[in-house]
Amino acid sequence: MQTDRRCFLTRGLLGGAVLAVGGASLASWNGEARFKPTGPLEVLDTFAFSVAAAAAEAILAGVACDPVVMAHRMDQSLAYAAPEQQAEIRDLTRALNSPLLGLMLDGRPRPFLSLSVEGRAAALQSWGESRIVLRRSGYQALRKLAGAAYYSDPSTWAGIGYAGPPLTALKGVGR
Amino acid sequence: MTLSGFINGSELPQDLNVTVGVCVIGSGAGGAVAAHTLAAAGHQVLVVEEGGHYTSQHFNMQESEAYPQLYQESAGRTTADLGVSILQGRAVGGTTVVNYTTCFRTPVETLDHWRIHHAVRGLDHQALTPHWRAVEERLHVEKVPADQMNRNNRVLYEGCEALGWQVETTHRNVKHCRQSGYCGLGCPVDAKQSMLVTYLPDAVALGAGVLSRCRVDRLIHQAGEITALEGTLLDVNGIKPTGRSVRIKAQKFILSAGAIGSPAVLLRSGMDDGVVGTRTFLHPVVVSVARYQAPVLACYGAPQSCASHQFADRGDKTGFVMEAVPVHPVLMASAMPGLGRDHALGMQAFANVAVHVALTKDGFFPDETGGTVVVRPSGHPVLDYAIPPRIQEALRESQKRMAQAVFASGALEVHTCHTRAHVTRNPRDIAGVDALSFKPLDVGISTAHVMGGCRMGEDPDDAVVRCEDLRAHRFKNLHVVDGSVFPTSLGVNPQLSIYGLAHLAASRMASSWGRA
Repeated sequence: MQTDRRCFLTRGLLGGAVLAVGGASLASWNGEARFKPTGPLEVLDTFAFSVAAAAAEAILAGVACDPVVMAHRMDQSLAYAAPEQQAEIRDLTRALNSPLLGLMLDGRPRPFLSLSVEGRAAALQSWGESRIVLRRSGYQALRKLAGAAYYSDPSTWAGIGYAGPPLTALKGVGR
Repeated sequence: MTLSGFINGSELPQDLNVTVGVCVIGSGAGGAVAAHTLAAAGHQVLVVEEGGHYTSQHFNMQESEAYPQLYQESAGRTTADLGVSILQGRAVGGTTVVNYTTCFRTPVETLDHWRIHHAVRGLDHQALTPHWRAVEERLHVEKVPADQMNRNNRVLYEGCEALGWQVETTHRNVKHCRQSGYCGLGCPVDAKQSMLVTYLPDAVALGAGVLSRCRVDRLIHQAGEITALEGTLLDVNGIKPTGRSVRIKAQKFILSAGAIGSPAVLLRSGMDDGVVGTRTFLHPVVVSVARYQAPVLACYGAPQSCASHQFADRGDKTGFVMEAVPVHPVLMASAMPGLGRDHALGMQAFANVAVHVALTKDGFFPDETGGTVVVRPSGHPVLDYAIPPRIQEALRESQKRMAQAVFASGALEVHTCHTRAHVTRNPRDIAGVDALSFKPLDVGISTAHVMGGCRMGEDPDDAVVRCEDLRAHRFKNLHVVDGSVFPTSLGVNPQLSIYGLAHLAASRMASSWGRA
């Protein structure tokens, strides 16, 4: 039992088989063109980047931010993840965009990238409350990556009433 | 080359092939204490550490820099299904560089449980007390004066008092603390007495070496003996190999890579005996976010200075211990549920929220078997940890009790961290929490404590190391000295338990090996 579990896990969280369905065949909608990377990528490919940026735009719809900048930060933080987890994130973006999976599981036959911001938020919310563990995992991963990308930037802190660390008070006086 | 002092492995221009007396793998709570104790006994000690050597000169109290510098997977480490976030250090000094400085001696009940249920012999309070004392003196472990609690801790403390619940200020390992509140991002003023500023420099002063940015790939073994360590040097960010390799021969090896790292080294080395990597425990917590009328500013002041053990023993149910945790923007963004405008509105309460957790005491009941460390094809470990119904019950109960406490100290409303936000605005409505799911990924679950995976015990078929000196049952020159040796979780924050046990085990090693 335990050995079986270990074998299962070493193949990766998302397995791969389910993600072969749909793939990126209908991926090249307008969103992909809109969310192009502006520099080299660490982990994501350009398609995964565009889905990550589209997701970030919906996740962070309550604040003003550039989804392309957010997606670059998400990509950079993924550089510290295990290679298998990096691959899972790339697979995740394909599953999220897949119109076939969207049709089968949500009755939504359109690629994620072609949806409005509100439509993307609804799709993400349905992932977050899905009965499928992999979808709930994917929702949490994207939500946390996008949130970290935005709120790690000191320019955002005034908006939440955070004055920042007392750097001068602590570092500016003798030890 | 000289193998003493702090050596940055990312800068080594060639492969490293050396022989030392004692090789310690990992520089956290276990490895640093062991390294110092053995260096003091005259042994030639080399510590290898995967993380980087960052000091207070680098610590600028920003999450964007501290997480990639000081945490495993840039603070993004999770269990296999992403159901539990794992905050664990990865730096010279290990998790002690980023913990919240809370010090508890191992509870008597926990030591008794190990003796009765896990064949742990010779480890009682009497045996451990002199070792705790030695460490407590070196690390300035002292009880927090009540007037030094920040408001985040104070509201928990006052709420518990109002309800007649047990609560007390904790002990912390700090010296001239400036109460900044940034313990989790590396102490900016070296007040925290972490391994980075205590036992590691102490060991170095005695001639030890600390090689950072060295990932241990495997131990080479033959006929029950470790013959060498093989490792890889990593670049300045600790992500990519530099192309240089490391081979270290030693008379003795001490594995102190933490409760995920240590089993992973053994599994990668083909040393899986069916016990290695099993029974890994987490003190899983759910987060309670309470909003107050007046600012709480949980980002400032000693992050953790009180604890309530009121529900530590719940009879035939799993117990928990309530504590406060600090609030930083990324941490809060991660915890707050919702998307878009809902999430942004939640974040705007940043200054007025108090945030609390309850350490769930996992591993004390037969149906709490913990998690399993698995090594993926790339060699990176991952922990598979399910949340059994018993733990879900404890998480739910802790969510309700934390809400009771904050309402008793004047909270306006209390949020859980479920995927779909749940808010309680009246203490009469706390029972609404009973309808919520406490399965992973339905509610945010996290941990900063990883224990087990190389458990100690006298039965070689059910334990990785013996109790006397934490020597491996199956390998005569290998000791495992870190939180991985605990047979269950502790029920308290682990650092002092690891220090004390490391001090005891290394002192016994030094005695039995003699002076080098």
